[in-house]
Amino acid sequence: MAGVPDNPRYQLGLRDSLRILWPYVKRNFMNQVEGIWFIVVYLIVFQLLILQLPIAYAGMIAFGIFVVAVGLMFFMEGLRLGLMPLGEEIGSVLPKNSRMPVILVFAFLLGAGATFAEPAIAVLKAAGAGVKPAEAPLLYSLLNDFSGQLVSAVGVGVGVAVMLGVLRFFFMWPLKYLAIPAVAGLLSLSFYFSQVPLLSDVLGLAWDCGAVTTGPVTVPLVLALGIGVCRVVSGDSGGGNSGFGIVTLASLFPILAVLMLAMYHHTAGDYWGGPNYRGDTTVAAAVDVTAEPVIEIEKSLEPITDAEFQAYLDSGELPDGYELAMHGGNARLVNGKIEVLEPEMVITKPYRRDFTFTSSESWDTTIALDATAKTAFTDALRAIIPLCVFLYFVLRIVLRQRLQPRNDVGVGVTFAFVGMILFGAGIALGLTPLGGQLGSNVPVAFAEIFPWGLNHIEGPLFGADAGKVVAICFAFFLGYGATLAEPALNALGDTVERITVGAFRKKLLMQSVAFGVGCGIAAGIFKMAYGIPLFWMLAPPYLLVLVLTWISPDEFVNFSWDSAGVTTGPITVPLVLAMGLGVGANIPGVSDGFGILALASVGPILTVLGVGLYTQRVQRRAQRKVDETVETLAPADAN
Amino acid sequence: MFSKDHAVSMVTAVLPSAGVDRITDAVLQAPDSSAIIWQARGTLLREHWWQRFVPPISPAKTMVHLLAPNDEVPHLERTLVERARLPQQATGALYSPPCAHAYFGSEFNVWPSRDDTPAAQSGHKLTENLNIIYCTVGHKLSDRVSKAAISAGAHGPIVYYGEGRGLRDRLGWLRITKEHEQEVLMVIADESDADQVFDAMAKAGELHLPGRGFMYRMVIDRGMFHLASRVSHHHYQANMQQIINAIDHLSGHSHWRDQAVFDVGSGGRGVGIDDLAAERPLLRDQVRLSAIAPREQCPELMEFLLDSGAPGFTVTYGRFAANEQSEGIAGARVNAEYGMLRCVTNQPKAAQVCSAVESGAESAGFADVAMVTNPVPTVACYVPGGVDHRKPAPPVAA
Repeated sequence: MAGVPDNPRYQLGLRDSLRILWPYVKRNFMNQVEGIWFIVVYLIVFQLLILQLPIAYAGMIAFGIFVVAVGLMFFMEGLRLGLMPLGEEIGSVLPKNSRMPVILVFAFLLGAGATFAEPAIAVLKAAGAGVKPAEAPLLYSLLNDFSGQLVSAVGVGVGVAVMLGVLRFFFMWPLKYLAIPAVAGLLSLSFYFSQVPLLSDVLGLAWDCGAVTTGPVTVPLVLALGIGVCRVVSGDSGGGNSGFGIVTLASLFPILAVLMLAMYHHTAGDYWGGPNYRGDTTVAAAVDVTAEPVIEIEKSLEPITDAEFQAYLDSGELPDGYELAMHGGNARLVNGKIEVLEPEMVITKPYRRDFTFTSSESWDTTIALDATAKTAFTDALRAIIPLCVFLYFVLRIVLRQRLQPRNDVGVGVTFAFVGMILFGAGIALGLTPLGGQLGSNVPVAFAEIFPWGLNHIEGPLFGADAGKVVAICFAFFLGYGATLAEPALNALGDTVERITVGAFRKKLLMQSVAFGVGCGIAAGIFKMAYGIPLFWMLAPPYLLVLVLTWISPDEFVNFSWDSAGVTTGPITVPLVLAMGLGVGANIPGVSDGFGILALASVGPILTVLGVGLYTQRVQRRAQRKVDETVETLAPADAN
Repeated sequence: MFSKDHAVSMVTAVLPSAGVDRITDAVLQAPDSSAIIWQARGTLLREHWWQRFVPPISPAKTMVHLLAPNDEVPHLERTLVERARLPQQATGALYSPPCAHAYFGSEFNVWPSRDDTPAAQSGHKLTENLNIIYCTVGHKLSDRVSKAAISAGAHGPIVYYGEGRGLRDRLGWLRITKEHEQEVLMVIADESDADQVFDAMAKAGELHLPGRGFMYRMVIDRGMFHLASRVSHHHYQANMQQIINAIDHLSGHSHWRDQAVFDVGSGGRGVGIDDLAAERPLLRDQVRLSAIAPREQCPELMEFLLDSGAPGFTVTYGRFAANEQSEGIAGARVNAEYGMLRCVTNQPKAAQVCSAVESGAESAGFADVAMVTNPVPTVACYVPGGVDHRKPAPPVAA
């Protein structure tokens, strides 16, 4: 080696290190802020401007949102540095160093383990907390008596799905040939269920189970696994081979598993109130979250002071803002006019609230910071560490392969872990209260409620039907904004852009998916507001999806179905459920919030496939024009 | 020991993604022949305002690299042109610059020269006097440079991703701060056009400023390129190349292209005068090193090369297609992965790196490695100490 090289290894001091770190931190933080600013600003503006209600716990919410942004920053970097390279490494080595049975067992364990690591079923239990056993016995049993079996069924469903997804890469089956029969089967089974009264209650739960399965840790891992496998496996099938598809199947198969579990219990008869029930059927006071709005209470009144009374006596006129109520007396019809003799009149002064931006409490004293942090810590621990340990074990022991030297996987997993803790804590402190407020307050548009944090009734702002339309529009933008903030969708968008080498931009994918989810959630609130049975809301969009999938090119089918499985995640689900519960509590006859998430999953498939078909049509038509033009010019161009 | 002095060329083909496997099977007929294949895309210009929201999806392309001996090159070119139907509009490109030096490790698959190569009679004539321009820019910054290239008369650049390595990797744990993948744009142009395209791209990408990117231009003797730049709705609208060819034909010469239109400020435009922009020094007579190694060994090889004096690399990984491939699992082929490390430096440093590879690589454990060099006449990048005329001149000491 001649002389000292010009680029030796450096050891930088603290100040220089910070100079290099700062732009990196700033860049990543601003990326995350770009994702979440819309939903936060929208929620605040909606509550202040449209509902004209103050925001409670503003200080805590602001702090929580900042923590969410920081947590997301760490989490996304952790994905990029650690989890995704680990997944890709395993995926690229798996076909070379092991045989098919080992691969399938690994895929099944990964899928099943991921379900237990990210328990979204707890979320569904919250959605079903208001289910009364007398109204929907099978549903109640599934959620309470057989909840362990429910989780296991979902786990098995996801495991089988991952297995099939990995098999698909080897056998080059186009995703269409797996997804279309699966959806067709599910729809026919759902039709049968919708005709049987006991089973029709379970439909919402089943379809929602499919929507919530893959969470923000599973999706990038599974995507990276698929990409790794497709990097090394090649064959002669055209563009269908790109590593997507596992998430799709992991969203469809759990639905089948839950439906089959419900069918089994239905035939065995061991649900609440059924012939073989082994539990206690005394109507235990089910925690009644759906408190009936008390309509008889008068609107809150303010007492009229002596000075105001004196002013009335002096002027004899009714001042502004006072209400006059008249009853009693003798009414006679004289000469075409009604004359009332000696009626009783009561003048009242209704309460007028001053508009304030925030309510008096700036921090919710019932939430303890350390308890929140501890919950977030255990959740993150459970979600990330077992999966990573399992993957590392598989890589080193089963596949006998070391990670590349100078890899950043350890750093990445640590970042992801820290990020997830902060993210979970931030959501509990910031987004959940905000969403809860709005969820409870949105019905003020069409019903009388006790708004959050206030102690009097406010009436419908817009009247029954217009108010419901306002609620539906609110739901659309809520879905749109919350989806833009989802980390799993960000990871999918990055991956799609990387796989297509920039041909399909992340921004385009995210905007079309967010639009689709917004439409889906608006449809869900529409279903809830007007009481339409779930099957009739699900079947038309899914049938349209089947038709569009059949005629779409393979590349688009792959990641459009995956984007459906990715959407409902840790940000969307609490917000949507809070809103669903709030709206449902104010509409008589609605007992649970199921079904919205399932509708939110079908919207993005339609929008992304639509975008794909449109661009393909434009390009095909234009390419034909170019070819024609060239042919007419070619004779003159003989070089 | 590394063997040296093979007369090889790096045959590169840009093909539409569908059906690449059949084409590579047809080309890799000789035993021990191999190719490195990775994905790329073309670029299409946005023509309508609403395409900002629903942009045209760029065509997917695949780049195939073959290190073949010079005797085989005409036959390979002919096979590729026929199989991929390259003369058709908007399909792909093909070029094969000969390498100045080549070093092969003991285990690397060297393409053998055959004595019975059929004589090269090509039905399609390859265009002569071509230049190729490679431009490396940061993540998601390629749009501006692509637009400038297309406006200057080139086709839509072929873009692929590479990872930039070099200085940041020497900083220990701080290497996590490095940017995402870089985008490498590739444009093929006639020799007479290349100056204009090169300048336009350098200006749009502001490559004379530090940290913006790196661009170099190589001479390839012959090649063929038919790549699209736009997808248009309108009837009878000719694309840019057709218009330029037509004007060439009508005026009888191509000097009209030398006159650039530029802004003189306040909405005025001028033509025919030299651009009054900052003087941008260009580096001359550089050398491009390309090293090929299995993917698992690429990080270590990069450390070795950085230690020997190379300034930095762009690394692209691709899959390795060989002549006799073992069947993998369930009828699907399982390929190995190789990486290509590319670096452009001046000649003394290049010689230093090459001699280090020749003498030390085998003992350092890199047996399955190849390294080739190509001459690079012009490079545009940040040069410390360059003069920026936009700033006022420093006062001259009396």
